[in-house]
Amino acid sequence: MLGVALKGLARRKVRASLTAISIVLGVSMISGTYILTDTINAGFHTIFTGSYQNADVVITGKAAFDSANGTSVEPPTMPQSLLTEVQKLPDVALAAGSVTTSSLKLIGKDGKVISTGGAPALGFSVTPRGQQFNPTKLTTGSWPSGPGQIVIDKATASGKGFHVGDRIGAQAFGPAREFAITGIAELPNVSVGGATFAIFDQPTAQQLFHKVGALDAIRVQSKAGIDTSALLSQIKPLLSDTQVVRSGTEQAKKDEQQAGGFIQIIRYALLAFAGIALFVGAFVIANTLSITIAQRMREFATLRTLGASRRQVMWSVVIEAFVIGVLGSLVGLFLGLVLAKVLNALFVAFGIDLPHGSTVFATRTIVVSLLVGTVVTVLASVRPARRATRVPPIAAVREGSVLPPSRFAKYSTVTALVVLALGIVAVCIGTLAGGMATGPRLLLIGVGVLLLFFGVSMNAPKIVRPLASVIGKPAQAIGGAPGLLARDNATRNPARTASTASALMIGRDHRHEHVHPDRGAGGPVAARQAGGQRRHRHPRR
Amino acid sequence: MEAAVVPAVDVAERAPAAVVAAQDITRRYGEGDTAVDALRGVSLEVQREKLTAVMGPSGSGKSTLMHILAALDRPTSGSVWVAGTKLGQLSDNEITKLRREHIGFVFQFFNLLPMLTAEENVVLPLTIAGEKPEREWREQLLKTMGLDQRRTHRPAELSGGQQQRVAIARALVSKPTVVFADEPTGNLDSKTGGEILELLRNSVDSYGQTTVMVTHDPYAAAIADRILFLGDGVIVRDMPGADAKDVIAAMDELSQA
Ligand SMILES: Nc1ncnc2c1ncn2[C@@H]1O[C@H](COP(=O)(O)OP(=O)(O)OP(=O)(O)O)[C@@H](O)[C@H]1O
Ligand SMILES: [Mg+2]
Repeated sequence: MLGVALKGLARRKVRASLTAISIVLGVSMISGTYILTDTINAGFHTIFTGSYQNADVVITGKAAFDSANGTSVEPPTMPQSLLTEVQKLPDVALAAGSVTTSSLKLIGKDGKVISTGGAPALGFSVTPRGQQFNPTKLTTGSWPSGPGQIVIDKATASGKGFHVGDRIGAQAFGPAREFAITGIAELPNVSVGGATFAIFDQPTAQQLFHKVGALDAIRVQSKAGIDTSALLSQIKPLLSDTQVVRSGTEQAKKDEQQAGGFIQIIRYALLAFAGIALFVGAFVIANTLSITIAQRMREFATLRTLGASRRQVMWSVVIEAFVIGVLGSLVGLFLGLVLAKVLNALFVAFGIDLPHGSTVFATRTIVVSLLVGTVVTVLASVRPARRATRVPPIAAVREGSVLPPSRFAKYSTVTALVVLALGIVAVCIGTLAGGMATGPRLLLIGVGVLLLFFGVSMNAPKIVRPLASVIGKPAQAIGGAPGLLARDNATRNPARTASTASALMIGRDHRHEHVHPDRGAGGPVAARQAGGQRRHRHPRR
Repeated sequence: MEAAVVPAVDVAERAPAAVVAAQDITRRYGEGDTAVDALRGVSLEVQREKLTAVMGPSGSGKSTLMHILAALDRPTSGSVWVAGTKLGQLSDNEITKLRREHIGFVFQFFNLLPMLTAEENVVLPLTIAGEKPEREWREQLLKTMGLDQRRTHRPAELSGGQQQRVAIARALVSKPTVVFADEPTGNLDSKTGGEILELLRNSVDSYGQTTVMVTHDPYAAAIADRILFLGDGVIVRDMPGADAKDVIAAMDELSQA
């Protein structure tokens, strides 16, 4: 029986693929979302762990309050004298301070500020003794030492055509100043997204960032064999209550969580879309299967007369759905890789260029995508499968069994087209219109995508038919004369075809019709029920 | 397979010795003014290892009768026994079991599964029942039905006659107690139809396959051991095997009455 179900499925490849499309879309959104957000998270992870490399403990200013959404209030600085005190501690091998800012604008050769599209424009300091803590690597040139020197990031350098020896304008809080580029640096193994960074020596940075005599962070390395907790307890007494000391890994985790909150929001929003897509997909699948089942009533009835139980009929439909679900989910899973790239490009277009390393394809992504896609498809098949069990065996010898109306059939073409058009308009405005805040823009796109899904679903039968005819052409050529005859037969008598109309929407693989050419006899049951008259039904009449 | 268990349910009731028996069955379609009485009290016993033909004018209730005997439909009143089991109160699963063990069906329009090859179609009833076909029996069937060279072909690649031969092999493969055939030649030209009739006749003669066949065609009826004539929902004549000329004479006689 399993074999029979699978062979039947293999025969209806075109139709099955069309059924699978809706599941493919939903699953690709799930997998795409996970892949994208995982990749971004991994990017942040690389950046933050990198920025505390070699630091056993980190002292930072403590913000009066943390805003929940991750856009933290800039913490207060600490006096440079603290560094000297820390350096004197017996177990400290190395301690170095740094100042940072996230609003150091670089000025391009055209005299305009280089846009980061909302991403931070980082500036920070390096000291010769703090090089061990420096997460960036020079690709050419040397580190800055002196008031007029700067190192800029590789992406900006190559993107804007700056080279070592060129001059570049930089501006933090005061007026813009000119610097000589002494080197180009990068963060290894990760893209910082749209962000730029510029590096100065410490006194220059302090002056430029308006933090003279102050530090934002002190990174400390302990002597060999010294426990981090011992170091922490040595440092703690030195701190005021606006300062805090953490282990390097803890500090990295904290920074990551702040950035991660935002990613989490993106993730849930995208997963919500995926959920909607799957929900709509489930309806499309249930609908398509119902139609297929209505078309195959005679087949199920024949199976029943040959001794198949209701349970077997039910399973044959569910197994078919299971296979469609697994294959559709697999395709969706890998399509998610592409979708993640597309989504990222879309974000960049909106000015949300987030860091990312190499693509993260987590086991969780695979498991969730396959599981959800398959389960949704199988669940969607339960109703149609139960309907299949209700096909009476006598349908094997009798035609004119009633087809259930398509779920979306009740929507008129006009409604369907209006919904589709609204969706397209919303998405176009959302993506293309200028001068709109990101929030409303995303909302508009969200609503547009939703309308698009419903529009496509409502129009699906009308779209699918011509589509199937194009895809089905070669199959038909192979199917040969019987298929052609059957189709001609079906189109010649629209009244008769009407009863199978919804079935035809899904495809035109009519080769199986040769098992019941008596469809051509018209609607005998209808005639019988109407008048109860005798009808001569013999083909040799 | 004939030795299959009879459910205990109806053993107490007098089970007719015949493989298939009907007692005073009626079948009414629809209700009220438009109701049609397709059968109006039919009783019969099908003889074991014989070919019984059911004849009669169009609308006389032949198909209705056969569907009821084959457990595809239920009578409005009256009782039917197949292989000693009364159909009346059987559950769907019990009827399914009965179909597997006792009933074979040959359709006018073949009803082959398009995605299966000829051979797969032939053994389908066993596949459904979860049984392995006996190799020898399967080969013998394919050979007698002339499907040896066609076993890997799909129905779409077979002629009508070949398709019907697949269908007959399929009906025989589980060695059912009785095979029902509704106008098995109705959709074939007379030469091909003749070959099909010969195969049906052979299955009765060589395997002792009890068969009930509905037909319009006096030449088809002429291969039977017994001919039942239906008229307006009742059996109007029960005639032993006869040649076509006598069948035609009987038909004329009945239509004048
Ligand atoms: N499903 C049905 N609904 C209503 N009336 C029906 C149905 N099936 C059969 N009938 C009626 O019952 C009567 C007997 O029909 P049946 O099909 O048994 O005749 P038949 O002898 O097989 O005819 P034919 O030789 O044309 O096949 C006819 O009057 C027919 O119109
Ligand atoms: Mg009939």
